[in-house]
Amino acid sequence: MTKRVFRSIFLTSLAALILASAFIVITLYRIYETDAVNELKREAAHISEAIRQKQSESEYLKQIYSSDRITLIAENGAVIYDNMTDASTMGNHADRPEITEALMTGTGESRRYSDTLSQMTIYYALKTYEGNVLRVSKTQSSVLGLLWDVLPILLIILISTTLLSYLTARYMAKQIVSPINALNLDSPFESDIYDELSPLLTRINQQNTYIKKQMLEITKKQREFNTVTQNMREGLVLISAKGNILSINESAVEIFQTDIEKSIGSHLLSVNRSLTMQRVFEGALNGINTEALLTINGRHYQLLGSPVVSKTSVLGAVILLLDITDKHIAERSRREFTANVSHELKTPLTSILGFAEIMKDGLTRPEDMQDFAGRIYYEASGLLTLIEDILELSQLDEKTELPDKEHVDLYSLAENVLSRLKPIADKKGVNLSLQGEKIVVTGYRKTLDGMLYNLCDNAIKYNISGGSATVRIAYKNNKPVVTVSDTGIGIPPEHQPHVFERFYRVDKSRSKEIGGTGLGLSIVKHGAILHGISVDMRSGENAGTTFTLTFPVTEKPLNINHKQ
Amino acid sequence: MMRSRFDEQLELLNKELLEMGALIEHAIESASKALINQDIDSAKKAIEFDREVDQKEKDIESLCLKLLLQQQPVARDLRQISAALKMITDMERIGDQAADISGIVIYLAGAPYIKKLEHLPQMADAAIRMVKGSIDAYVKKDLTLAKKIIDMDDIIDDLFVVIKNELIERIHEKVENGEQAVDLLMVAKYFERIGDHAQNIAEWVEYSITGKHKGELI
Repeated sequence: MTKRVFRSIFLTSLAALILASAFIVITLYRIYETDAVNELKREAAHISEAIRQKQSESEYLKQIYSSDRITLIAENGAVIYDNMTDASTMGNHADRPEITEALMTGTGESRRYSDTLSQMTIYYALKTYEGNVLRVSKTQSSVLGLLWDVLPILLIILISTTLLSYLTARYMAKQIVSPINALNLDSPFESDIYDELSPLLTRINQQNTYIKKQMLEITKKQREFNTVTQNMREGLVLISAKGNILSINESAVEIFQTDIEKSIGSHLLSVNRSLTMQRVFEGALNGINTEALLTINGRHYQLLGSPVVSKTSVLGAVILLLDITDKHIAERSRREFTANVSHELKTPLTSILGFAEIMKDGLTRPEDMQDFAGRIYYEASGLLTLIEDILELSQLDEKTELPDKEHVDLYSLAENVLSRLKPIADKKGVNLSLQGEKIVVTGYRKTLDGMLYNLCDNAIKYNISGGSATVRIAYKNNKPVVTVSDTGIGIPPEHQPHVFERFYRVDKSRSKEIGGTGLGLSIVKHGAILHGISVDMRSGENAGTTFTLTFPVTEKPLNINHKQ
Repeated sequence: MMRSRFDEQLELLNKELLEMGALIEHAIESASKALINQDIDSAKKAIEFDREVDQKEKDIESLCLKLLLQQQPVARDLRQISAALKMITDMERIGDQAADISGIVIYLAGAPYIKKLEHLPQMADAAIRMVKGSIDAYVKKDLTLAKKIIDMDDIIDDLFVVIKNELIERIHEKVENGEQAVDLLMVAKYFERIGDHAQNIAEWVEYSITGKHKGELI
């Protein structure tokens, strides 16, 4: 803009200068010419007045010095005298317009090309008293010569004014533009500027306000969106039609183990390039809802891709990641449990059925009958225990139909459990002992009883003849602690992580003779979870096993519980 | 206008490279799974992946050449494209190697292994980690990761020597073991080559970031 303003100012002044100079030259030329003609008139008048008294006109004329050409012509047109050329060589001048005019009116004026001097010439003719015609003439070059003298000055003036106008134009251009440059567009009315611009500034101001309002609205919406998505547990990724990430929430960033700044704008594949992901997002971008299972770092995610569709095309896609690891694991363990239960139920039943069949067909000797019936009884009671355990477990699983919590005295509970187990312990030759004090906790009596029963049962079952099983009940760090320790065969280290799993047996071949369902520790684990008890197990092969149940801190240790 | 089109094509190149990377990862994972479990289905899958990898290589190659000819990139862009051109060659070789392993696995599937595979799965695992890491380094433009991958190749090379010695022992024990031992040695060699190619990829990633290939300005 500065350039343009400068150019217009400069060119205008330049044109004005040139025009003015031209006018001056033309005017000067006119003035000079008029002056020349007047001079010629005056000179002619002087000369004609002078030669009036003289005898010989030509003789007199010779004495006159003049830069102008002076010619004397007779009435018939013959040249009598000429101060520049020999008169005798000149032709008849009667036909010259100025001569003819002078002969007729007394004076004559003409401007033409002189044959004699071969130049543009101004003529003035005057009829003398003798009747001759006196002609004075001046060549045009003499007029131009005058102009020529003026020209250098004129040129100097022209150049200096051009230079001046150049500088001025530059300065002015800058001056005009500078307030526009200095304009603060955020608050256009603060600066003092041309009135002509105020409609534009008003418009800008309006736009500013509008944009600000919209920005605010957008930021607000963005914040709302972010708040919603960032607090989602599910991973959420929005991608463009080309597959570039537009938005990714905190959970997704965590799942993909990336960072938010780097991932936004980059391709979804740079975050996760598994074939599953490719299939899902490509499907979504083709307008199809896709679903798949994706495993990242051992966790299972349900991957949902839905297209974002406008009327005609797919604008992008939403990718949702749901962590279904727990569900996945739970489902798997339930499947395994069902399979195990069926198997465990089937084994004793097959055996019962076998014995019963033999007996039904009458193939047994009477003396074997008792033995067979005993085996059936043994298997059936095992089956019953198993079913009871399963029921208990599933009750713990469901966590429904639980009675209200009550105060339970752990000491008397242990006493009760040990007295029930006494016959089995005696048979195995295991010494039972109970140590500690009365501690009352709040919990489900039946579940706690089951837990303790299973632990003590195990302590007896996996013991050696002449070994011992001890239950200790005491406070430790203000927390009620129950310890069940034995001097038994222990659990080999490689099996230790699995013993709480359902139906897990350390020694599968011996399980039959020892009995048990493989559900005992599972019941302990679930009961512990229900009560918030932490279970600690220490064991070594042939070094006995110690289970420590640490109860959460009770609100106030109660010493007396007379319920039951 | 021209520029944004160029950027778009660069993005496309990036995406295609990622897809190719995912394909070779799956190819070598399938091959390794096939080897360990004597799983013919997995082996066939790996061979299938290799075909896709070959196709991808052709696509990317023509895209790179088109970019070079039409856009005449300079500096970083030129480096990225030329690195991509070199990388896909190595990626394609990895795909081939995975297919070759699968071929041997299919051939061996009839009989049990002469010994329990112990170091081969380790080698496969290291190779997979190297390939994954080299592509991750490309994705994240992570120089440290690229350098780590370049150094990892030594692990695979060492494992190869261990496996070789073990197989020689087997042959000494029983000459009949020879045939399978040779095949298993080939498998080990293929994994070793995969490691080399992954190392190459990491080196090209380093080049595309720093402009230096193996420490030299090129």
